[in-house]
Amino acid sequence: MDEIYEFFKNFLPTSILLTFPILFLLVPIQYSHASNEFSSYRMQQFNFYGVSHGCRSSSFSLEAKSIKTWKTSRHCVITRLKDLTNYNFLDIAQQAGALLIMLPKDMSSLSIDERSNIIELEKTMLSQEVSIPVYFLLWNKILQSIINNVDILTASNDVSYNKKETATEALFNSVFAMGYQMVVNAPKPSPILNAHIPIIQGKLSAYGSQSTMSSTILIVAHYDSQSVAPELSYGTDSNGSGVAIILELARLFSKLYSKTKTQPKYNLVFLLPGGGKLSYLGSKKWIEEQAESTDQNDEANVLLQNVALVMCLDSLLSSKTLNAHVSKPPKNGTIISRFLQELKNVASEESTEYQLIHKKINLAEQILAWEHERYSMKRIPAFTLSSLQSHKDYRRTSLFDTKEEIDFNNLYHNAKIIAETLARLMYGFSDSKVLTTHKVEFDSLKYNLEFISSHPRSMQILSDKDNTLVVSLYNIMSRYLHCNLTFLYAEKNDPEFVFFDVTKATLHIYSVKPAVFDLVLTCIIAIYLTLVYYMIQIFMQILLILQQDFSYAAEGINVFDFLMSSSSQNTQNIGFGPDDGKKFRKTFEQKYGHKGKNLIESMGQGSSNILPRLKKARKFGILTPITFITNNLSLKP
Amino acid sequence: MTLYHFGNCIALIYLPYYFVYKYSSLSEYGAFWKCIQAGVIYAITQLCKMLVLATFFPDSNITGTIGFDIIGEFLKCNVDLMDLIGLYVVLCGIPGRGHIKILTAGLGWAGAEILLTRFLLLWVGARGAEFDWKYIQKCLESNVNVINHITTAALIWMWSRFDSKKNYSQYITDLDYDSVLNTIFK
Repeated sequence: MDEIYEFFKNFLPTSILLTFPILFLLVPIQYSHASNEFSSYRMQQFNFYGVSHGCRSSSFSLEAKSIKTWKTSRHCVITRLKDLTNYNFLDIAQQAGALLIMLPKDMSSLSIDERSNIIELEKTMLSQEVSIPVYFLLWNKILQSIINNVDILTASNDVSYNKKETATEALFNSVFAMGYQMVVNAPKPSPILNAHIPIIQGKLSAYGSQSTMSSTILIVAHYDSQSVAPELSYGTDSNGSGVAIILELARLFSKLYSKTKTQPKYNLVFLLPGGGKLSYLGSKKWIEEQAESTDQNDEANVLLQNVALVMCLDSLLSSKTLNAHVSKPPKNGTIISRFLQELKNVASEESTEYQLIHKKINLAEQILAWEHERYSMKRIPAFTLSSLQSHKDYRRTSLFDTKEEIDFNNLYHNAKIIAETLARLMYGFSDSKVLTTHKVEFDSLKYNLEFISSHPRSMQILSDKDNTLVVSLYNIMSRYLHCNLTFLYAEKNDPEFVFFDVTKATLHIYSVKPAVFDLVLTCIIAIYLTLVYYMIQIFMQILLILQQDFSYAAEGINVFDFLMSSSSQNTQNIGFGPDDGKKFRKTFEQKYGHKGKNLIESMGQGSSNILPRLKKARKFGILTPITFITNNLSLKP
Repeated sequence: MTLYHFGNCIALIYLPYYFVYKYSSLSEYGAFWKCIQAGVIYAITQLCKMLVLATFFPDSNITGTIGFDIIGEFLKCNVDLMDLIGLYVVLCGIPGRGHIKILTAGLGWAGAEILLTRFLLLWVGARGAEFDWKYIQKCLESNVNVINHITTAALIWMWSRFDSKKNYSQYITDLDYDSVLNTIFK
């Protein structure tokens, strides 16, 4: 070791010896080289009228356990969505450390029972505050196998519990069992400052100079969606379908309004409010804003006063049925009853089921059932068109509401009926088909729906300014209409809604061994190194023996060569008994003549006989021929 | 516990080298500086190899992924013969008795290899939270490599002896080739 020290002392400043290890230790351990990384979507978190909903925390680093074996808050439960039940969830939410839920590979493969379980679960999850981090993961082959492994580990544990396996097996398992460490590093969720709800409004003006005074038909569809995870709420049916129909109606009627010949006497206003899943907050705020402008000549005020009919569109994708939801039965003669009558006619022409559903507004409930109730409360004639029978239908706030398993024909069919009815009402026809040259285009409708349902549209995500989805919606609308975009902010003192950020994070999964394993490993390494040590020792001894044995080997080197070549440093003890000389004499005389005459002669002349043998001896690493030293014998010349 | 695991790996990988150095009479000959020299020559050889590979064998993965270019791969493997040349240079630079020569060259060569290829791998890998048998396996592999390099050095040394018989040297050349190719296909 001294020479190593000398070496460093000579060639390197000693300080480097200190600085490098310190530098290395200061380098933080990075998690970037984890073998498995998954994007995970955090559960919904928001406050609504001061009540907090959803998951409160975001970071954890815990050991993974299956739903059956978790015990303490030091465990992170990882499970499939369909394996989780309401009861389990409540238990986990209170006592476990974190919850990871993997969505099924194919939502449509679930049975009806499983679906209704999941719907129940979603409701439970959102109805209360959850203190542990809850994340959703998309189906993934690797993740699937990890969950299987966790399950298998737990299954074997169960067996050990029941059958009392042998102590050695248990010990072996406790040392060598593989575990998974789940790590999510995310900032603490904080309220989104200046969260706002964008509202897009577009208008087609009626024929004539007094167009602002003309009665107005308002078509409303909220564009946001909601499910248990913000980043996974694609809301295709609710309310992508409504928005898609509005965009298509805007395209269709902008063509009709552009020609004076076909310009109707109604103003047509399209409204895309946000916050639909927060008890239609967008519509509420919009109405308040319109009503607040006291100026008589203000366009907004006039607009609200002249609204003859509000048609809300919600979830029109699931079947070829139209349900008109109203808060009170329409009186005969009003425009709303005319519209609904017309709708009934058109629907029967197209052989579509139509139903008028009457449901009183329940003011006691925190969340209103349908969007038209916001308008009905202000005594504006309004109704909601939907394919759904009840507002409680699971599809409206579920993870299942995705682009999978949808039928564009339903949407096309429903949109056609709505457009036709609207046209008949505005042009005053009642029997003949109005929309013949200009009609609802299947492709454009499909494109709209695909565009809108390819983005998650939870309010958290849309609440930043210049959100791309909102901006592109606005751009599409203003292609056909005179548009404006307004933003509604929550009140400063007593905010109606508070959104929280951190909607997604990266999950790192490390496969880890228990701490005991490293200790056992140290012991094994120590044993191994001891073996290596002895092997080297033995090898060196063998080498020494070999050096001697080579000289006896049938390589043509005899004892003489060996004696010639033996090391000066190692004094060789050669067994040489009294009788050996006699035995040796015969071979010696054969080679070197009587009494070694030839040997002496050849040495005197410079040996040609002996040199090759010396070379052979050198080949085995024995370079310097040295003196003959034996204890038992001294050769006399 | 991960730093501890790193310590385990380091012990497993470097202690055998130390033992070889200490107990195979190398330390008595003061061969440390010679080992360092062998290491430097190792580094230079690897640099040359990389230059040759980069110049004459541009990455074939980008251009043609279909089909396996046997001749190209074979030539590519032949570049590893430069290792033998490097080892020969090392052997030439060390005076002394045969087995010391071989041990010094082999140990220096293998030592430089583990320092340059394994240490960073272990530092980055074995210290992380993730456990993998891979690192233990690498450590054991480099233990085998010591023996491999020492034997290769021995073979080269025997080959370089001008007086070894012709058919014998043929045999040695084959062996050299084998040991190199083995490392490639491992």
